[in-house]
Amino acid sequence: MSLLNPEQDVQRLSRGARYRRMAARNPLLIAGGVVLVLIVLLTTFAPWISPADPTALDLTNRLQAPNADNWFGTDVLGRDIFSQVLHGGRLSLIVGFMAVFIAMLIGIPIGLVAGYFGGRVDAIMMRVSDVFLAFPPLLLPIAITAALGAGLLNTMLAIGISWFPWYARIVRASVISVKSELYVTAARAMGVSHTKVMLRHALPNASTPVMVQGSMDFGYTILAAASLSFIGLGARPPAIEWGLMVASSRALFLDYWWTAAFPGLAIFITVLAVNLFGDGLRDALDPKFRGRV
Amino acid sequence: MTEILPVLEVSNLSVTFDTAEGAATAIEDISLTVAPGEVLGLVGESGSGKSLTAAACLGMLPGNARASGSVAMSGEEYMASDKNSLSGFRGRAAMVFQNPMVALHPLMTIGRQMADIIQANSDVNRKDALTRAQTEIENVRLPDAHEQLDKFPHQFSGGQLQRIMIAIALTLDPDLLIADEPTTALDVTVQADILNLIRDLQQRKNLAVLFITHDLGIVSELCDRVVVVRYGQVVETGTVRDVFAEPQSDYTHALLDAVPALGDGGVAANDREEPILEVRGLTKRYGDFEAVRDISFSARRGTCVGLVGESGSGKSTVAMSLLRLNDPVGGAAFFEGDDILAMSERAFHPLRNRIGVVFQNPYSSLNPRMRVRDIISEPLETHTDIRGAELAAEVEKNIKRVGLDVEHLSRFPTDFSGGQRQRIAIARALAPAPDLLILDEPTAALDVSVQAQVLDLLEELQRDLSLTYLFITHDLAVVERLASDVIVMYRGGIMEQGPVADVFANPKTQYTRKLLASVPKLIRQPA
Repeated sequence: MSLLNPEQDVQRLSRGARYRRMAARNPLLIAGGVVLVLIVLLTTFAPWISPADPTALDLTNRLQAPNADNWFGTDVLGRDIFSQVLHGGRLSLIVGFMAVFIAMLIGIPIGLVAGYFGGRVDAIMMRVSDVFLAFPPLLLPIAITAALGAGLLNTMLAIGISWFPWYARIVRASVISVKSELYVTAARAMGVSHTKVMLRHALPNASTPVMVQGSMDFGYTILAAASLSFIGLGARPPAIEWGLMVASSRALFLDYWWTAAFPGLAIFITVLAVNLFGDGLRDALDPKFRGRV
Repeated sequence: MTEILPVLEVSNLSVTFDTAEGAATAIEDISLTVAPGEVLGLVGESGSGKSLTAAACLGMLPGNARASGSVAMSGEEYMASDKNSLSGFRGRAAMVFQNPMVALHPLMTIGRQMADIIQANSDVNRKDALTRAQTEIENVRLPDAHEQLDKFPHQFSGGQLQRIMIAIALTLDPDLLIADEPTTALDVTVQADILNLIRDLQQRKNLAVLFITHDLGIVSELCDRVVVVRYGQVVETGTVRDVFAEPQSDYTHALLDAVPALGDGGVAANDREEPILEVRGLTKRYGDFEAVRDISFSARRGTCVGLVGESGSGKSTVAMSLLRLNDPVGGAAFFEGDDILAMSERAFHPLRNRIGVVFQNPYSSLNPRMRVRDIISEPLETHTDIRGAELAAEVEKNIKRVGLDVEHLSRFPTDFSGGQRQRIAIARALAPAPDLLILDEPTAALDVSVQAQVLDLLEELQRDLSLTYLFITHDLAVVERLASDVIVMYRGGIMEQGPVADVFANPKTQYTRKLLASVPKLIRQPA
């Protein structure tokens, strides 16, 4: 490599090279990402992969311990737990993803407007969203689902609504710091409208922490959705969902451990992978490494 | 006869960094010596490796750096790469850094910080350490030294803090003082005081000084010998008088030519044209603080008006008011006869493309997530209906006008150097064909050779497009080069205004005189 020359064009790495460097510095990101992709693939293609129909009853074969035919054993109705875990992941992942999406959909605009305009607008918007933070974490989703009625759509809405203030706060904080950058002042001096300044200048430069938070929250929302299903407020039979599977084995798992262990393990591995991925993403996008990654 | 050993002798010092792409050489084969009682200037532009050389001398290289070569103090050899053997070295060489605002612990009093350093380096009790600290504070000419010891860093100004940093460096009784751009963050009048202090201490204590700077004027005034570095290599070395009078390398020559010197003669005043901008009694308050007080001036079409002042003088506040980015409490500003301060935002909007702005810091003034093409077309999209091929042609015209290529348009700002970024910012300001351009310290963040290029460009553009400039700067030499009229601001008010030639030749106020006298003079004639 040549000597440092500040006035020569900064060398541009190809996109591929940049990603390879990012990967080499972040084993966690890669480990979490690979597991996550694997889980998504397995659950997406569950109907083609799973060895049996997850709803097929086989009462002669009920509560079998894991064996060559039924890798994860069978449940009280003789259904194959391996196939159920594969299928159950679909709902868990969709609910988790949609809940984060809804939280962002509500939180980002609030944080953007509050952070950009500041003053009274900021005070009012942030105090309102603070109200949602005053509830214990799982209590608000429970209350909302109780009010709206149990069901998957309501679960997503409930989790999303109780999660949005975090996004509002994160976006607000980073918009406030971006606002002091001269390109925002320059855009205002040119007469670019507030809406355009917010969407074109403020939001893209404030989005990094949101991406990190979103990837980490994906794990928590999966957990929250499973928890709601577990207490009977989320997915309802005959839907297959990890939380629901753990719930229905409540009376059995002391004698038949596999009925609860495998769906539980699936939740555990997914949440762990998501968190590793989120941690890695945060490190990779850390401003200290900006421009070097 | 015994040979006098140099205080610092650096031979064949190289530093490489381990990076993801392999080893990157940052400095290569640098050799220099500092004799007892000598002031050596180490000069270079940003990225030349001058600060890294100092860091290597003190064993303060970052973890992924590897050094080779030798560093010796008074004949005693210290391997630059061996951090442990350098701890003894450090007491004999002390360093003063660029930004004194961040070099002190904000929650500890000055006295406590100084006493801790003194006690860490010698076997004295607390009381003696504090007495010693007070002596050093007196040495750097801060009044009421015993009271200063009980103050916290935030209670001092930048110049006072830099004095304290020098006092701290001197508590170690060093043979060598390494000063890394110690006045770059300070105003020019404060800089003059600090340079005086360093010269005085150096002579009184017969200190050897390694003075790192990008400012050739300072070198000319302060240093005995000079080492010019570029891209991590020594370009030229010799006595300041010889090198400045007859530089041997092309680079040094170009560097010296690029320095705008005071006294080159200003731009002729132009009183034929009508004023395009007329400001009357502009006043802006933040709470009880009067940032700008009763400012009145006018700018004739096609001329450049220099607005000069030190930090906190309110010069940028004036710019913000004229751009309607803050709300002045009083006064009027007539742009082509209409008071822009009295207009509604809606009425002012069409004028926004006639008043352009270029800011100081090109690293912050361009959105890092937008391509250059989008950055330059944004003002056009805001104010005109041209789109598609016509818009693309306009954008290309503007990028070529500032000396960049069309192929640069699809890149992001992070791919460019500071000078190139400032060109992009100028292209953006020019795109809507403004009449008035407000330039807020457009060259302050740039190296001197790049600054010269940007000033050339601005001069050329003004001529070709008959633009009017309001040029805000702290650099009097830059004003002299571009402006026909000058306004000197101090603490929110106008100290003096008039044609550049008159004000600079016969300053009427003491402040202007002091300001002019503080500018380091670059002397290039052999004596």
